[in-house]
Amino acid sequence: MSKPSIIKTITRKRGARSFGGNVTLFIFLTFMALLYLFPVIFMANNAFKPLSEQLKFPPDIFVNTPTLENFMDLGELFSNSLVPFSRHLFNTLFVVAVGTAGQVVFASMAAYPLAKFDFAGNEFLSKIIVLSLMFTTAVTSVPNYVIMSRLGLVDTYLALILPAFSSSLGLYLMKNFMTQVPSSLIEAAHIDGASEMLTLWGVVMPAVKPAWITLLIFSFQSMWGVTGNIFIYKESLKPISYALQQIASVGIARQGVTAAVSLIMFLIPITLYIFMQSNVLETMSTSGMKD
Amino acid sequence: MAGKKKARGLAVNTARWGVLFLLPWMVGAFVFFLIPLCSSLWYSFNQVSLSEDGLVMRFTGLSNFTRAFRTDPMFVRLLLTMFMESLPKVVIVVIFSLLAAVLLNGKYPLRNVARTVFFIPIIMGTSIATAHIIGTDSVSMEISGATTSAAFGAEFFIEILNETGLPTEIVGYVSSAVTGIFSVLAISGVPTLIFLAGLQSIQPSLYEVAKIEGATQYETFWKVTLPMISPMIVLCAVYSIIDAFTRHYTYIEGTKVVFLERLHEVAFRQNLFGLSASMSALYMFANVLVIVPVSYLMSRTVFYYD
Repeated sequence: MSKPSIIKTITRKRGARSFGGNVTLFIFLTFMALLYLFPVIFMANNAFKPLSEQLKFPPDIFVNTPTLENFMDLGELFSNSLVPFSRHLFNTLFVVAVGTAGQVVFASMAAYPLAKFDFAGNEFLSKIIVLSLMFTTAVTSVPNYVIMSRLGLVDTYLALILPAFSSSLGLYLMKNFMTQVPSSLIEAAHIDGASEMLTLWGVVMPAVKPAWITLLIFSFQSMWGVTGNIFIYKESLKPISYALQQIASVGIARQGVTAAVSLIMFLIPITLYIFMQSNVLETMSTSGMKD
Repeated sequence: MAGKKKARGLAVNTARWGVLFLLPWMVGAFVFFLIPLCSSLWYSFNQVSLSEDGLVMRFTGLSNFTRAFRTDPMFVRLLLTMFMESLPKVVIVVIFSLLAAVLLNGKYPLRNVARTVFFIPIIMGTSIATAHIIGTDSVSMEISGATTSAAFGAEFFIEILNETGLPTEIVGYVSSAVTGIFSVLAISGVPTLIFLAGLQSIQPSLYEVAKIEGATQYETFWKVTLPMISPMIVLCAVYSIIDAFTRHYTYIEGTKVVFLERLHEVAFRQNLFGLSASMSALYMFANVLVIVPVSYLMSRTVFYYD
């Protein structure tokens, strides 16, 4: 007699909470979304404002007389520059592609033994990783430059790519996720005769797919904005963000062009993210244990 | 006997793979982390000057450090405000981003749109997007990208509030809250994504069991989701502390001073490389001082699935 009534209360309670929850959730998400979107809306509108509106204070959020003149000016600037736009674009794409791929591969490789092997020095290495997370290259430009020039990497793509390979954020992220992979899954792979290499790429990596997709996004995002102005001096090797920054640095007269540039630099990663998350991030990890 | 030998063979084999896997990262970390770290530490005990033959060092002992604390007009203030402002923010960021990730992981229409919107701060955070609002120096842009868009948003709100003719105290209070929201949003993008990935790594079978056992959503969250995601909480806490510290800025006599920019300025504008190195050593020490106890205390409560 008492049991069904308990079940009823629980069911009713849950129903009530989830309806109320949904409404709160919707309101909360909408509110947050508006806060998040505000700078984007402003930026997008800014890119289409003529100069007279750009300089208005306080600025209007929405554009009054939309114009494409900013984008035209941008095109003109690039067609007059010494190094073609496509070259800068290629530089960035190359550095980002190689750097991101390498970062994911090397971080995963290093994370696997740290997460799952039992060896002397594991603890110590893990502490080093956390320490290196706190290390910002922003404050050690001098020693960084000295090292790069000793290695002969100044004015090469490698100066931008190699540091990404040893990123500690990626390693830390992957390690944290890999410790969550059941050891029995790895043992099973070993019993079936898989080598460590095969275990890593065939068993562990599919199990932590959300983690490396996330790392891929982070890595892309952080490398996308690389300007390389300490290590790259040849104009033809400069990445696109540098070229765009040069345009922006001229000052107030270029404010319209800068707004156009900002929009472009924002749109590319966001497009990539939308593509990635609808194709890949959706997959729930089901490749775990079936027991 | 034979079995023992084979087991040892396996262990050796595993160790070999372990070394092979770790090697590329370790070489990189040695070259791009340990060497710059050690040379920066060495600079901090020297007076460093640039000459035609490269860097010239003159050992000065602890004088750079005493100078940072005693003479430099901004350093101590930046350090103290960094602790006081960043730490409460980090607590909010971790809780907020866990909440956001749980919401984004639910099933409802327009989920992809919601996820994309929540991704925006990551782009804005490292951003070139806000380049035109701040200086042209790339380091400062890198560091203060998000905070400027935040500050900008806040200014906009303050503008509106001023128009409405409310008393200034109320406007001031609201505006500081709004700035707070924007700076929390700016650094919560990465933790949200990490939590989202963490939530997706939880085996669906655990939720099935919870459902069959009759657990409510509330119970499921506390007994399944939270323990399973606890390693990511440590990860996100550590990440957000570091992130909040690197973005730290404060207003000194009305001008905005970004901590890391200030270190850069001491080195490259004032040419005091030694002083700058000692400040960055202290900055890193401050990081260690916070992160070591935090990660130690938190990882004791973490649940590791094995």
